[in-house]
Amino acid sequence: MDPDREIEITEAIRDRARIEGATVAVRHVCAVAARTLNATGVGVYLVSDLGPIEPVHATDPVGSRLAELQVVLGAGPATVAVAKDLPVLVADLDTAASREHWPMFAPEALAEGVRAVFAFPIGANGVTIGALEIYRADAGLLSAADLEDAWLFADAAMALILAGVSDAPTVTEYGLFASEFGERWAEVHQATGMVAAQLGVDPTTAFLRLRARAFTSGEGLSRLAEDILAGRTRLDDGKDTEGP
Amino acid sequence: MTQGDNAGGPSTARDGRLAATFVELADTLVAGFDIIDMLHTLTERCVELLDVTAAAVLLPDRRSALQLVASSSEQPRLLDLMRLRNQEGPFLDAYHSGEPAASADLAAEVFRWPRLAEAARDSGYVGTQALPLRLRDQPLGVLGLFSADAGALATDTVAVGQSMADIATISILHTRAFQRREQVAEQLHNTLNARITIEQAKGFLAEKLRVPVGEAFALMRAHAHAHHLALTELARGVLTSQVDPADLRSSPPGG
Repeated sequence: MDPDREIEITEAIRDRARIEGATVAVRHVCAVAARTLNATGVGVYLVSDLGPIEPVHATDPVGSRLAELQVVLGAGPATVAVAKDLPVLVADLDTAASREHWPMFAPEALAEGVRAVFAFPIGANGVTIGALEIYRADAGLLSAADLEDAWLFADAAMALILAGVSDAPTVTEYGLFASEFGERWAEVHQATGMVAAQLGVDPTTAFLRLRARAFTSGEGLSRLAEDILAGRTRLDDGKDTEGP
Repeated sequence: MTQGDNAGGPSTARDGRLAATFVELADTLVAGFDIIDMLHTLTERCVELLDVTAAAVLLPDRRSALQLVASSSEQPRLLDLMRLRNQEGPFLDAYHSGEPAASADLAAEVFRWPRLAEAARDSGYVGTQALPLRLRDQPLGVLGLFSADAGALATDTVAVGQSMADIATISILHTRAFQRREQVAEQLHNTLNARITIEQAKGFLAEKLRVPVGEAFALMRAHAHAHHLALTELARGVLTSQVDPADLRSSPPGG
């Protein structure tokens, strides 16, 4: 790998933060990655106890919905990238093979205008901490140069996340992940807690119920969370009872 | 000890093998490499390249006692000799001083290292060279070289030996960097999970106490402060019903 390229990318990320007058954060990595790789958007996920992909940032609303979709389904390129510690490259979601491989994810992603998805594990030496996901509106593989760059962005995200954590977990962690999407995602966890209280179940079960409702109703997870927090929707309203 | 024989003849053949060895060892420094395996390879190459009978790497454990972690030979005689590693001898000296220590004839060192001299007579290893593994002033361990014949190693051989010791040092530091990264990754995982737990507890309390989420958080923080609890611990207690939500409404102790 070209060491100069790594420096170029690091500099570009720093510049991006400098323009914003902010300290370097995951959102800057995503923004520069999206621009450099001619992507519609880029998202970053981290592994949590709740599941393999806890979304921490997405550059745009489509990315947010793609993230929600994968969390609800528990399936998708980022999930596989984390589980297998391997890159998942889907050059065209609109093929029979892709639809067969991603029966739930492919049609939904296509409906969002996403045609190609590339997910790279973030981590090293057997320690996978998350995934970086790149999506494009057009079909086609990443070029060899793009592939190398994508790995560099995944490495940049890792270095940043790990450095931020070792310095001062609470404060920098907030700055690191600060994004509009992150704030909204917090509501998903709050709603999970609320559902746990309503149903008298543990948070893990509550989160599954939340995902199930989002899946069956077709509304996004964060929209559902909003409704739950506002008291407009309750999961103990009987609509989730199994069977006819 | 006497100055070693410098007239070792043309060393180009060895230089070539040495360069190949360095490439081989550098190639092992990739993801998932095994440090012990790597150090074993290193000791084997020492035997081939430095014309010694045996080589061993000693590293300190948590108590700073040297332990044999890799050797070119599992011969009981070598292991016997190494039993005294933390009592006396060139290994201990090299480890403590950070400088090479040697003996042209270990069996003759009856004054410096009487017990080791006796052990050396039985072991068959007499020529001994200890080279420090060190990072600036920090001692990391020792590379030990053993010859069946008495006599000091040539100066250039010692220099090559020190290069091998430096490679061992780099690999060890490399491994530590990995371990550090794993620790940080675990810390990250904990931080992320703590954040999730706290958000869930906010929602849980909001539902139980019929208050807005923001107020639930304020109650949680006040309660944590008043009772000297970590916020994450309290959040976990709330979610597992070990903490009664009503308790968070009541005023702090003594208040």
